[in-house]
Amino acid sequence: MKSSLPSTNLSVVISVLEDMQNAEIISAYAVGGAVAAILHDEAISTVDLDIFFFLTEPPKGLILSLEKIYDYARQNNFPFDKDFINIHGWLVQFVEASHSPLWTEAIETAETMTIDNHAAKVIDREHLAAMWIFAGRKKDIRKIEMFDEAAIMNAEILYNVLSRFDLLDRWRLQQHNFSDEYRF
Amino acid sequence: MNTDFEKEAIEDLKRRKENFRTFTRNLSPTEKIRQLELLQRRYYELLKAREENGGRKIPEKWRKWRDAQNI
Repeated sequence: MKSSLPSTNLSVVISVLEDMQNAEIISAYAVGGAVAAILHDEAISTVDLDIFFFLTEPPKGLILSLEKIYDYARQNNFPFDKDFINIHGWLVQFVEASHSPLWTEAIETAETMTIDNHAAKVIDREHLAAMWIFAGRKKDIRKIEMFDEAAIMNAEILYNVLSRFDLLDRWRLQQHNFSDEYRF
Repeated sequence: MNTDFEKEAIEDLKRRKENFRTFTRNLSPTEKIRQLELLQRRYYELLKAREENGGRKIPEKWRKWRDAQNI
């Protein structure tokens, strides 16, 4: 069915992320969170867009500064507060990923999807499920259930990710919510 | 206890919901984002109506969304 709606603004956000890569502020990014869940499955209500990324200049020490991201926002007149940067109407949360091996791999193995003729990097289903089981909030478990219901996770890959990142115990605590295919 | 008519109506509703979910799952990524943008507008309208009718206030992050959208 062809939609008569205008282009989505998400493709404009993707262009901004590409510009940030060209300006050597970030070296890589991937869409995560509920928007990634939507891209893999179906639309659910969410208000923000989570972008996992690496700074081109890796953070030194324990204190992470996102000042370069905020400088970029200032230069481009994107309003921001402590939670979000407003990029063309999208409330974007930037999550620096280099301190987490799981998030790092999630960015490195992200899939490419086409949105309004833009190639967008999106975290794959199995890494998303691992990230959600780690976070462990009710809304995270619901998203795993959604993927389970749609049978869109590869059980072998999921098991591999969960075991390598030591998440099998957390998964097993929740797996009564999931179908047999995803019980390990 | 449900009558046969009620059972049939519930089954029909389930079937239609499942058909719609199958349809939305098979949309392209672009169409899914369009669906999300529509859903966000509708959800915000519901939150606004709830507040206007004496219910809970619109959550802060949805207020921020409204401001970002210039609504």
